[in-house]
Amino acid sequence: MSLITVKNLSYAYEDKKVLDQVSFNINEGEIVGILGLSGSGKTTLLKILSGLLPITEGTYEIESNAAYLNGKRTSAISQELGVVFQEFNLFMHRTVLDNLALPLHLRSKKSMKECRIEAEAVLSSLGLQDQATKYPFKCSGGQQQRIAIARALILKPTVLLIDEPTSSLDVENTQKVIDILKDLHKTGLTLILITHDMAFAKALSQRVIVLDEGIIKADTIAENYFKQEA
Amino acid sequence: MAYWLEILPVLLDGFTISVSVYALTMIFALPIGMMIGLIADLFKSLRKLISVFTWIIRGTPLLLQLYVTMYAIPLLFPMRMDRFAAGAITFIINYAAYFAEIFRSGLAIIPKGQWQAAEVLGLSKVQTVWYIILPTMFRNTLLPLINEAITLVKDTSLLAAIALGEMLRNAREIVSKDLRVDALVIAGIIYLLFSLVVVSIGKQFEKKLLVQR
Repeated sequence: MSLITVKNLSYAYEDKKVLDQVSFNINEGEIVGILGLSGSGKTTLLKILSGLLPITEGTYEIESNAAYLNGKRTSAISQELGVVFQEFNLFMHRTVLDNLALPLHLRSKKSMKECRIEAEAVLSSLGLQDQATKYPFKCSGGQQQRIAIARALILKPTVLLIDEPTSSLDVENTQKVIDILKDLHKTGLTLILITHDMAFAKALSQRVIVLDEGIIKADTIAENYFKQEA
Repeated sequence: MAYWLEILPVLLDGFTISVSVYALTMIFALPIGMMIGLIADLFKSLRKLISVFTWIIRGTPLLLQLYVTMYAIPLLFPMRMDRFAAGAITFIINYAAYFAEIFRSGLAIIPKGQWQAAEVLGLSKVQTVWYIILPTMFRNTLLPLINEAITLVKDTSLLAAIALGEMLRNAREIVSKDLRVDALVIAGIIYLLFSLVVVSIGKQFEKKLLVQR
């Protein structure tokens, strides 16, 4: 079943078109790698998918609900989508635990105490229980990446959208992230990985969508794509 | 010693006025400055107007502003200006302008990613400002704010210029009357003690807010 449907999406910054008639579906339970070099339109697509950049042309639906209406994002995005940024964007003035508990508290209206208990459970599931009382900047890059994933997960999204997950990670931490994402996928989470890291995409993706100068150059089964590339 | 005990109540009388203006300035100028800083950061259209306000206030001496409030405004708009009110209002406006610029700079260095993270987590704009942006801004601006708070201790002596019986004015009168400098020495000590209190309060905030650095 199609979870995300993007149809004829175009976007231009002033005169420069960065996305041109982009159409694709993301099905429930899939791991899709969106690949492309710098300037391919990946970042613009990420901003649109995550709700940061309203669409001007085309449609974007999540579970058949419009993601944007009249130039404003609808609740469909924040209800269904968890986003992990390349720079993590953790709240530096809050402890790791509260980075998870605060958004949950504000979104669910549950008490902060309840939210902290839930947050502890999510942190433990990602092996971060020892980091709970630390501030994010005291954690390593790999830990921050996992905290960012945990923060996205606390709101129980159906889709996790991850931007350049390996850009600041070493081999060991990259493998950790791969393992975590595989485990999350097993729980039924749909994953969208926006990356230029072919090895990472190959290790995880079931399907790849290749962007080149704002146009979809390929939308195919990952195995076939990487065989062809090899 | 007996002489010191004799003049101390007069100096402390003046000190009460200095402390009252100090407290009123901090209580009102901080939130006003914060609002101005936040508006300047969030609403581009008002930025110019706010920068004109802060330019005028920061570009002219506080002493001149005190004269304007106390003497010029009652001339232009016939009214009786209370000295204490004139002093307090001028200090509040002056410090609000400085605080606004400090807060604005503290807001400007908050990475865009903080707003974006809050947005994708589904937080409203008000929630983002209250729970994410303002706490970060206070941490970013704590040290310059403490500096301003210390400067304000000394600036209260300018109230003498509008003949408000604050501590330094009383000290000067005692010196002229008795031809002894003791009053100035005591006033100096009181200012130092006052600054010490402000510095230690500031240190408490530093400990609480910046301890994690």
